[in-house]
Amino acid sequence: MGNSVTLQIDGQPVTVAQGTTLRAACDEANHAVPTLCWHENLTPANACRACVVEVKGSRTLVASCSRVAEDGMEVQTASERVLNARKVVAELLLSTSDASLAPDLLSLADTSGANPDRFGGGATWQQPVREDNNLYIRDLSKCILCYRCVEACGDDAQNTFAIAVAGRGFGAHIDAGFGRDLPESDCVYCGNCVAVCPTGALIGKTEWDLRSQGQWDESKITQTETVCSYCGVGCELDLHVMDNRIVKVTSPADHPVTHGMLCVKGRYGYEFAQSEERTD
Amino acid sequence: MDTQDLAINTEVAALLQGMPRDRSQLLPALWRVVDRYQELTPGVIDAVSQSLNIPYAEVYGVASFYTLFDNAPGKVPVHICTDVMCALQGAGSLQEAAEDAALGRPVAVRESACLGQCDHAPAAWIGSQVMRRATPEAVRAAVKAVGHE
Amino acid sequence: MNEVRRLLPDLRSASGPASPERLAERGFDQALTKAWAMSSQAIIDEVTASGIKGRGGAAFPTGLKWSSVNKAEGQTKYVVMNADESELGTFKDRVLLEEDPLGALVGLLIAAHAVGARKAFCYIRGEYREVEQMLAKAIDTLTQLGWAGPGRIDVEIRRGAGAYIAGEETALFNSIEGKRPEPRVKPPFPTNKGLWGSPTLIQNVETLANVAILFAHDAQWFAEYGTKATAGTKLVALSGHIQRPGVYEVPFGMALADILNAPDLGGGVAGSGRLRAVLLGGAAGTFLSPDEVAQSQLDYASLGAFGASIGSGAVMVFDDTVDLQWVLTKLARFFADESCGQCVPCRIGTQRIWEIAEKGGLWTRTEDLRELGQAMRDASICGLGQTAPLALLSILDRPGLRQDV
Repeated sequence: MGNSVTLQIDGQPVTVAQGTTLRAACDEANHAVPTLCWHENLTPANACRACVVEVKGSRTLVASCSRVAEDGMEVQTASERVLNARKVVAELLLSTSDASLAPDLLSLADTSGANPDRFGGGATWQQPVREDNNLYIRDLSKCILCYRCVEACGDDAQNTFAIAVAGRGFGAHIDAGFGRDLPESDCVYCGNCVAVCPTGALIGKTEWDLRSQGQWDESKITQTETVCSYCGVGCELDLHVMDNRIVKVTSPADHPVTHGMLCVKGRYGYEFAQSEERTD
Repeated sequence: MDTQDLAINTEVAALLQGMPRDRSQLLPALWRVVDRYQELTPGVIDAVSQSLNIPYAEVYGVASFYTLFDNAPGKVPVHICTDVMCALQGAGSLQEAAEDAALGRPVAVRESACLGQCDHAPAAWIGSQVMRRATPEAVRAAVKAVGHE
Repeated sequence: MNEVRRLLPDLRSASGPASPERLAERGFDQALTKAWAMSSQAIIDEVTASGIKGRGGAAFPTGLKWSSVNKAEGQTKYVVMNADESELGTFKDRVLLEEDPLGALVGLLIAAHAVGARKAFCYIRGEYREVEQMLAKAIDTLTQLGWAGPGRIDVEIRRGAGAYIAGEETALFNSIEGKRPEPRVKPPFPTNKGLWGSPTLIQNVETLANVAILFAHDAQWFAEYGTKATAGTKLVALSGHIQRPGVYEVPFGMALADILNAPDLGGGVAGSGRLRAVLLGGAAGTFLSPDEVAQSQLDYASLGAFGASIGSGAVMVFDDTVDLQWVLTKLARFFADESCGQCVPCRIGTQRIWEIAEKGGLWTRTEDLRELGQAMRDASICGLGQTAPLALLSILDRPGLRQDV
């Protein structure tokens, strides 16, 4: 069995392929760990620390998203230290950012028994919404600095590098440089940052407007699968339709061509389909 | 690009001439432009970005990390260490003296974390030179000398 | 006489610290000649035999580290001198480089020779401009004598720009590479994947200076001072309420009380003359009560009994007029200012500790602080976040140090 390793997860032996991360191994063992910054198509950022587990012999807890499973490892996904770390991570994020559109964070808060007020009352990331283009808006009060957007904009997908993390400490933030507006930046509006954002800090303009008007209703949204017709690459599109109107376009994260990523035409070029001037 | 930006671009390109166009030169390059311009403006960052072929947002992301690059426009930074050891030895009065002397001068008084001079506390760092066992008088004189040396 | 001068040069020396005369006077030219005639393995064996441990704070066995880099696969290898000393109360590397810059550089060259590196970096904090000039002079001397330079071992100085975290080894690599100095996740360790993904040997200034004096002599000479567990001497940096603040070289095993009180060392507690506490090891160190100080020796095992460590060698002395809440608030601000912001426990945790301290909640919100501190120790990416709460936790464990109790 040279290509596999066997480890113990919460006392239960699990055999996985060599190179499997602890997070994936925990998944296979049905002892899934919570994650916030991890994304299946992006390099692990190791930033949120929600996925930490206890590995016997390790002084600190270990981020399971990036640590590779080794033969004989003894992993605990629910030790006292792990549970405390998860709870505190949730509490710290809730004390800083608006989690209203962050299902993973809300779920972590719930399952970890976090008290959202425990570390509250201090500085927060509350700030004005940035509405500087017609395609997506930035509501950075909701940001948890998961690095996903920076990675999607950079060498994990788009290679545009229009945004980066700037500043440091509590003042670290996502920035196109000197806080400039996106139209002045290198942004090409592929919207891949929006697609990977786990908190609604980056959100399509259509969705934002409908939410602001109280008209966004998940239960009324249906999804239709199609293939993008702009070029010959063959990107699969999921059209999110509400009240006979396309309100969002995504691509399945497991699609072999897109891995969830699209270009500006595929993601935002849907207005023509519902234009009044369309002749059919 | 307006003429002012063009001028900065040319100047920065000249400053960085001979440096390999390589990501690893970013920190030395930033030091060169900070020594020349004091403040890293959008124009300067853009020029560095173009000279070294590093995306603008990334140059800004790196530059904005370092406190010694965070300078106010047109002002020489005067760092007063106010960390524990210097505070025990009277850093507070140094800060007051510096701020008082800086009024109306092109000087920005900044609190600094430990300067590594605790054996000579209190310390200040003015014009890239350490001042050991600083007194309010010495700091005042140094602040007033900024721009006259 | 309690003070030793081996890492630090003889006070009677009249030669310039960066001069060829100094190189000869200190026996460093012979050390280089000797090392150059030895195989990598023989050099590493000698370092291992000496028992030198890393002097930056982690006390990792130096020989073991060199062996790992030597064995690591890779055509290109790097060595790095970490002179980014930026921790509160820590200034020993500054004094060492001011007084004897050739020692650490000779250690660096021997390290490069041993692991097969052709390129060496000296990363020095941006506020040490005078020290940087001294270091540059010393590199010139070694270049002129043919030990360093392009074609031999190219030594390049990199100047930091005000970021304590850049002293964390993997953050330091990112800084050299032109990226944000955010620490990387470990493993992989620098010995396998450091600068540009190549095996990299990174050592503190004082560690390298120890290597230089070891090769100027031998392992037996080296062990003439120190304890069985830890051979050699240690630089300690005394500051605060102490009669003679400064950097002193003392043998491992010396009583902490002697370091504070011996007339040729600390010379006794200053200020009120009555000791409240010593903060040992730096901003991320441990507060020791006067009783604990009286029972401690400068060695890892002795200090470990009190949950303390030598760390960087910082010994900060506070008399009984100092409000330790005030000190903790300063420390909390330091860590909040210096956190890189990458991971949640440190980015937000350091901020919240500072806020709680500012609001005077350090003695009342102990349960919250303990759980927060534990999460930071357990779940932060790097040593900054992991150790930021240590000084605070050490006081929560020593209620006797709180003035209100």
